[in-house]
Amino acid sequence: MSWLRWEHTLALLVSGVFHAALIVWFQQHPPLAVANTQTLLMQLIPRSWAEQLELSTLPLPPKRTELLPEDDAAPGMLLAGARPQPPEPPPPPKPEVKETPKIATNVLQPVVRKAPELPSKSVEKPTLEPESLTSLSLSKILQELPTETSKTLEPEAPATTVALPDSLLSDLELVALDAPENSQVSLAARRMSVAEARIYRTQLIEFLAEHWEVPLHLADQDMVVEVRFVIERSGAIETGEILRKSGDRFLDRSVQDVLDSLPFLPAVPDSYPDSRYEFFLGFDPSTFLR
Amino acid sequence: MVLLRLARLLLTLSVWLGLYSMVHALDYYEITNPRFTPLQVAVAMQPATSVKGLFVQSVFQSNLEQTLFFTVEESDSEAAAASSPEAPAFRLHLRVSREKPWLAFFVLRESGREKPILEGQLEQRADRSLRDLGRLLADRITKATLGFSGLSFSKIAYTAQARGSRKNIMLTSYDGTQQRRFSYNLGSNNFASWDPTGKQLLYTTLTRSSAQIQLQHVDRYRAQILEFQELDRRTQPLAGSWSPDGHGLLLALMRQGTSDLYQYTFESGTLTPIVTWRSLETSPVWSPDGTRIAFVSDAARNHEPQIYLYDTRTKRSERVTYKGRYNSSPRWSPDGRMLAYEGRRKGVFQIFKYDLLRRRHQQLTFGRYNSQQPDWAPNGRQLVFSSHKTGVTKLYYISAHGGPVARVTTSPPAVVETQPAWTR
Repeated sequence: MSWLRWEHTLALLVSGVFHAALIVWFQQHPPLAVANTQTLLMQLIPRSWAEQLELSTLPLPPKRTELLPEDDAAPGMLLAGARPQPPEPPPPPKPEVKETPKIATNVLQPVVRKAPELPSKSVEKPTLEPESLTSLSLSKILQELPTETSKTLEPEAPATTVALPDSLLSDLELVALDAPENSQVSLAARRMSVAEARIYRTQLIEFLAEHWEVPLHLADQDMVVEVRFVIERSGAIETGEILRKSGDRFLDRSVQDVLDSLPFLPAVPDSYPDSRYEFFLGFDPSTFLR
Repeated sequence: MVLLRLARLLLTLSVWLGLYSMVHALDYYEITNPRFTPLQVAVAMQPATSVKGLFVQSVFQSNLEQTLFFTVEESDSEAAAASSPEAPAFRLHLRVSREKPWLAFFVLRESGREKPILEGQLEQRADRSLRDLGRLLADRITKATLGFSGLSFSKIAYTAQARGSRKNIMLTSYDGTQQRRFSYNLGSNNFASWDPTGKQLLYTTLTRSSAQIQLQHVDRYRAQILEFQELDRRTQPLAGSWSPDGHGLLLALMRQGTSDLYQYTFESGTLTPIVTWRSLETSPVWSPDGTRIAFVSDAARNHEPQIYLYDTRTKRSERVTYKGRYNSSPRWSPDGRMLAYEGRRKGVFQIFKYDLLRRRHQQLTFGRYNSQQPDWAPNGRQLVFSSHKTGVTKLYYISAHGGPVARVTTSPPAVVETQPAWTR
């Protein structure tokens, strides 16, 4: 331990105290983007499904969780509840696939979805209650899923594109490593998977750059207009506002034109857990290629 | 030892900060590379049939559009321009008076604001032609809207060569509508360089047996040949450029297959060696503050010229360009912070600019044709360069930030235009 000198200890202590003070300060004065943190549940089925399944609220998180790292997750983020605790009580509910003959004609026939291993997984869920609106069961999903032949259902969720198994993970929750166990408030939970986030970031930047027209005399100027966006999963813009102007009226107006003219942005990737996505943009004309 | 401890402390702190920022990362994206567009100016004139008014308007339009920062469109009335779906950035209203001498009142408004940002009158006088009034209006609008001075009264000297004839120095106005021949001799004239006041032009005349440096006043037709007493017959001047104070020249002198850089002082008539390496050194240009000289040398590798900077105080040289095997024609921006130059990339010459403060090179042209010999506008907002864009080498303007280009002159296709030099 000869390499461990008192300077190292001192440095660790100083930086620890410094960051502890910073964390306390940030909790009391949260920055704009972190102010609205809340417990967020991962919604792995599309919203249209949820509507069809008449799920008024999202499924509740499991009470006992085990943290499992996810390869795709951002640093400091773990998936909770991916592996349920061994059998607690209630006997597994009986798979209700047999009830399918009662299904109306516009409902998916069970033969469409062949997933033999699924029932056993759903069986392991201790908190499942078939009658509950907030829980999911294979039988219910199979009953409610649209069929290929149904004409009355919304076109954005055709039966051919339906992928069932993800619904079994629908009660997973993203939890940050440093989050208190009881509150489970996760800062990183708002983030999507890294791979998809990269793609989405590129799409978003290219899309906005393509629609952003700036007077030529402002090229190479060190000015930034900061913007806050809140969009739905579909990309529809809920809120788009300029947080900080650059001071140049032409540049500010060009960004305002972007906000006024764009009703949509690229849709958020499926891995994003929330129904809304809030992010910040800096419109900077100082870097350009053409 | 103390520094080592401090470095360790900083390293530890930075690691902690890095970890902290990872946990508290925000989704923040930087939007860059926008589409750059010119500002639109709508012009409405009353009465719309005034011949002199239309002439002033056309001169104003051609000069304003050459800046590349504006497009001008005619409008029936000011109200119509304001109510159009794509409202222009500015609205100019010209009202021509029937009095003599010719008089016009103008009002410039920005969209969304009723208060004029510029208003005044244009009056034709003996020393101010209608063309001058159009230029004046363009420059005043540029100054009022963008905050920098216009270029409508600037001039560009360049080398023109019609098919089957010798090269001559020509002068053109900013909008390219007025051109005249400048050099009258039997040689081939190249490498024009303006003196700091824009009153005299230096150029090199090449004949079959010799090369001469000529000095000519901008309003005269006869040039004066500069003779250097210290030079023997085996030494030939290649090209020269002015010192910022106008008291001397920088010369590239060719002797026994090698070219070196010398400083010539008018008062003493002496030549002082600046860079005398064994390699070829050419194209010396003084920085606006006179402390540095940019030049081209193939010292690093034969026949692969690169750009260097020579500090006149420390007498040291520094290589500027490393990318590409051919970088040449350096030109200082008026504020001395940038160098424009030509560089060959993938077999094609392109225009670049180099930021001396950030040490960053930026490519300005991207076409699959040669773009060469840049020179800065006096206000530093534009560049003029020669380009082979249409199959014949012609002069073009480009913004100092890159983007679209615009032809300078309207000369016939048979005339090749090269080596532009811009002055106030």
